[in-house]
Amino acid sequence: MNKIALIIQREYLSRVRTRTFILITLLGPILYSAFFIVPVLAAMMSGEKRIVTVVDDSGKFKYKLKNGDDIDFDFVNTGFQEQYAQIGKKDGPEYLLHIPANFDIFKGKDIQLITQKSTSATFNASIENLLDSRIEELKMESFHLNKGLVDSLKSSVSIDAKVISEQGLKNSSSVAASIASYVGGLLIYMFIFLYGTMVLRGVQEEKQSRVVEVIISSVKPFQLMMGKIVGIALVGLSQFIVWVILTTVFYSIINTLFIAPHMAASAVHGAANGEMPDMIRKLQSSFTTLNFPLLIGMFLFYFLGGYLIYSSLFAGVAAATDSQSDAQQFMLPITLPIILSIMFLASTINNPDSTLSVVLSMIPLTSPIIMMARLPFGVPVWQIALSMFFLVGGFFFTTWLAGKIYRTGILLYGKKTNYRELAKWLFYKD
Amino acid sequence: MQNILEARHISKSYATHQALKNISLNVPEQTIFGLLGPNGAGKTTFIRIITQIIGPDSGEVIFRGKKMHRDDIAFVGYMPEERGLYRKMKVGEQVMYFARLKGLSKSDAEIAIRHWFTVFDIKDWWNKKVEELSKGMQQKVQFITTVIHKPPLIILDEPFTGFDPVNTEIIIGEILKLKQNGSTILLSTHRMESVEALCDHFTLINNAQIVIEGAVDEVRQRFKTNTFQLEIEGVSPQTDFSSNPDFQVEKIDKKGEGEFNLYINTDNKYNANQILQHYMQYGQVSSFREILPTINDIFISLVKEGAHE
Repeated sequence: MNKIALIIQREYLSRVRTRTFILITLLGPILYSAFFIVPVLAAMMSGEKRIVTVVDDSGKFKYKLKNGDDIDFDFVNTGFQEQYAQIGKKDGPEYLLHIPANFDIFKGKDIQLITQKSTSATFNASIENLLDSRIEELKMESFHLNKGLVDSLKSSVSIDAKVISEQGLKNSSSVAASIASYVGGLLIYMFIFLYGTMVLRGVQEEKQSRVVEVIISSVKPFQLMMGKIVGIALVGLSQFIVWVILTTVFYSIINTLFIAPHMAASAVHGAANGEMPDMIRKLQSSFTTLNFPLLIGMFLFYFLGGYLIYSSLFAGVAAATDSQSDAQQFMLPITLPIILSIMFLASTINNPDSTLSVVLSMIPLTSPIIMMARLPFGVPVWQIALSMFFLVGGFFFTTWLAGKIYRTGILLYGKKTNYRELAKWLFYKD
Repeated sequence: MQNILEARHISKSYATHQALKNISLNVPEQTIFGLLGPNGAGKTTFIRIITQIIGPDSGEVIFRGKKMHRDDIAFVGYMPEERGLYRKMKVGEQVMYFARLKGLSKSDAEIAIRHWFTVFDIKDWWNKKVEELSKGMQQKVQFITTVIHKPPLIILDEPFTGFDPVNTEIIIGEILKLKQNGSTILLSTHRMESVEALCDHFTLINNAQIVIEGAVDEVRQRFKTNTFQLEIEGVSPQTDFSSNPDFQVEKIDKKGEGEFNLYINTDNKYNANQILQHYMQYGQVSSFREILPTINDIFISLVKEGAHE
């Protein structure tokens, strides 16, 4: 077998076989699916109804107060003091709402909610909302307004956003696009850092354990460096592919088992409960307008390109320095562009076609993250092509640079390197 | 005898200092060749040039009659001074990896590994991680990775550091066996005494230059000072050893009543028999031998001379 293939194989297997890798690879998708699904499920399944005991001394609300999603009102005829004494006791009220006899609908004050434990702000707000709708009715009655007329005055317009594409007008999906931007940009960031530092640590380990001299008496330093970089890239790709597959599987399992039946059930429930699933349905359908094959393909390209650029630089740094702390000073200028990209991620998503965004999506050090953020909104083909071209060029340049530094640095011990020294190494002959 | 390796006028400079100045040497086939010199003399640089890790500024390396090429390192086994193994890797896998990097097929490597693991009695280490091994054990593994592909040329940089006396003996035995089986061993060390016992030829490097070279016995003969050591008993108390100016006594150790250990130098005026005869008159000679300088003595005297010049 080819030597570089042997190195790639070792780098790959020695990482893939570790317990941590297997655990993270398998648990990752579960966490991801949970990340997407739990909030939805939580919103849908907080089915436990809370019963609020109401003492209505004003008589304006009795049996006219509509129950909420998770709040049922229980009107009692006994007096407030009597109920008050029972709070917290068995069969006593848990939540006691007291509407005083002199309640003024135009002032909206003096209603008390009494509990043993303090209640959440959202719970209080839900009760307030439910009270408000009854108060509005009461006000309309006092002005002798027709409820149907008033309802018809309320307006809720929604813009139908379309974008021009080659296939004609398409539904714009700005929410879905923004989400895809964030996820794409952050994933690239995470992957570059995760696997880039893996390369850094790998080279440091070889240098510190001095195993490197044994190996480069068998293979060229450049082969060793590239073998490591490629091997770890394959580790990253494997992990990504497993994650995509498992996430899809988990998502569809959970979707068919829990969410779909729940949505069907709530659709039957009626308009009041139908709002939430409607929003999700809309979001889901807007996600389908995204070009996923393109996004995933581009993700792989920009992940690989960005990773190769940064990991070769990391390898150079690790080879040139003896210790973690020495490496820090060289790491800062290298990681700065990544951190900048993350800082500009939000502004890119707000305005994907601004000059700054376009420029940053061309520069090889920032393009992986920024271009991923721009892609869901649609980017002209020439810009993608140019950015990809620069990225490949950037990779060749950094690998050349890192190879030169690596070759000299990997055999030097106990000497602090500075930038002038590094610059000299670039021009050493073999 | 043919030379497996010839270095011709090799020079190498780093930014601030010259590591090697015009080094030429010949390593005859199937011998143990000592590359000697104090720390920092340039030994490791020289070895790295042979192993093609770095290139010389000028000069060339001839391997088996031809200019050495990068591919030739498959025929070289190199154990660097700074030992290194992957700590988290299992012993068996690790040796397999290095063997295959040297071009062995998987099945050949397996046979060779089994052989060496039997020799060192470490068969049950196969699935142990390197970090679980003691330093001496790691050294054994390192030695195996160096010789696993039966290289015609084996380069060992400070091979005995880290071994206890028992394991040093085992390694010396294996080195001699490798030589018998046709390998040439280039042994680099600053411990000159280990060379005398083991090496056929040597080159001594100091300050990037060759100070002295040749066959071990020949060099010791060349640098002998005609000093003899003589042990004598039954000497009467009145005896004055320094009465005859021709027989200079460099040193006298009194070992007991009438029992002495003498170091005598006659500046080549008398041969061994005459010296022996001269001292027999004083008492019973129990031991007599010519003192040959150790390589270490030679080195120190040469370095001192160099400093005077």
